[in-house]
Amino acid sequence: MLRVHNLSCRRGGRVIFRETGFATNSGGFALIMGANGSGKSSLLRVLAGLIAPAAGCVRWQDSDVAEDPAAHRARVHYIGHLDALKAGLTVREMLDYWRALHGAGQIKIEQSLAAFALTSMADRPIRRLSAGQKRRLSLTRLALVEAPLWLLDEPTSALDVTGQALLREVISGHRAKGGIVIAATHDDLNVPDAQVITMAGGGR
Amino acid sequence: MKNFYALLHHEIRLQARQKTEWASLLLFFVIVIVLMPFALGPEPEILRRLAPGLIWLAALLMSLLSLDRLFVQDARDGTLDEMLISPLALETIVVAKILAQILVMIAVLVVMAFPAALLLGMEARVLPVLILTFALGVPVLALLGGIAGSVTVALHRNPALLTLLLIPFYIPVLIFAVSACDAAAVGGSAAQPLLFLTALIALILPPSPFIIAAALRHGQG
Repeated sequence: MLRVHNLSCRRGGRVIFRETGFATNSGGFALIMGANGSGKSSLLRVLAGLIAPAAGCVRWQDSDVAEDPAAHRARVHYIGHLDALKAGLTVREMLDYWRALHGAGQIKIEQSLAAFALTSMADRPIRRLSAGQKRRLSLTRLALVEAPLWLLDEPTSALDVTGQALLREVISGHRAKGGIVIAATHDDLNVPDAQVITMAGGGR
Repeated sequence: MKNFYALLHHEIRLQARQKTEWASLLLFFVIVIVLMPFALGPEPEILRRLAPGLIWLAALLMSLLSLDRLFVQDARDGTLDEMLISPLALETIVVAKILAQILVMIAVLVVMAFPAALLLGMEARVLPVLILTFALGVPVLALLGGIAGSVTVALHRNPALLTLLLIPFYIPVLIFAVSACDAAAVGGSAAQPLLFLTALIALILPPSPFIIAAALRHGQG
C-alpha cells in the first residue's frame, strides 16, 4: 500500500504542488489529472525518489521510503515522457542493458517482447523504429523485471489503439498480482475503477 | 561484479555503435595533424621536435569535443532517470560508463598515433612512450570530463561552459605527457613525468565516482 501525506514539492524556489495526499491499495490504479504545469510529472518524480519532497512523506507499507532509498528503487518502475532509448542499439540489446541495470531478479526478455508485440523487431536497430514502436519498447521495461510500484508519465503518448490495448493488458495483469499503478495521462486508459487524483498546482 | 561487466559491455557497444560521431572526431584529429606542417612550416627538424606536443594537443581537443557524450546525452534522452532508479549503486554505473569511454578513447588514440607520428616524422623510439602517456593521461581526462559533465547536468547549463571549466585541469596532463615524450626523444629517462601522470590518476580516481554520482543525484532536486 502506498500512502502519500501532505506532500509538497518545490523546484528552483517555485512551489510546484503543495499538501497533496492520497493512499492507494494493492492492486489499485491511481490516475493523476490536472492541467499542464500542475505538477503531475513532478509528483511522479517525487514518488520515484528522483526528487526529494519539500515537505510531507511517501510511505510504502507504513515505512517512509526516504529511510531506505535503495529498497525503494528496487520496487519502482518509472517511465518518464522520454523513452530512454539509444538509437544505435537493437531492441534486444536495449533490453540486455535494462537487465544489467536492474541487477538480479526475474528476467523475461522473450515474454516482455511478446507482451508489447515487438518479437518480430527484436534485432532491428532502434533508430529504425517508429515513435509508437519506441514507446512500446520503452514500456517493455514494465514486463521485464518485477516491481510492485509502477509510475507512468503519459504512457500512452504516441501509442496507437493496439499499443494502448497491450498496455492495458499488462497493467491489469500487474494489478491482478497486487501491484500498484500511478499514471499521469490525458486519456483515462479505460480503467473503470481508477482512483482520480486532481492536481491543483502550486497556487502561486 | 557480473552486473558491472554487463554494464561495461553495454557501454563499449554503445560507443562502438556511434560510428559517425567517432568518425567526425577522428577526422578532426587528422585535420589538426595534417594542417600543422602548413602552419609551422615544412622544416622536418621542427616538426620532429614538436611532434609529441602536437599529437597530444590534437588528442586533448578531440577529447574535449567528445565530452558531452558522457552524461549530458543521457540526461537528454532519459537514460539518466533509469540510471538513478536502478537498484545498483549509481557509482558502479558511473564507473562502467567512464571506463568504457577510457578504453575506447585509448584504443582510438593508439591507432591514430602511428599515422600521426609518421606524418610529423616523429622518432620511432618516442612512440612507445607516447602510447604510455595516452594510457596514463586519458583516464585523467575522462574522469575530469565526467565530473564536469555531471556538474553541467546538475546545473542545467550549456556544455560549452564545461570546456572552459576543464582547460585549466587538463594543462598538467598535457605538460607531463609531452615532457615524458621529449625526454624519450633526447634519449633520457621519461620516468619522472610518467610517475607524475600516475600520481594524477591516483589523486583523481578515488573521489571522482562519488563526486559524479552526487552531482547527478543532486541535479534532480
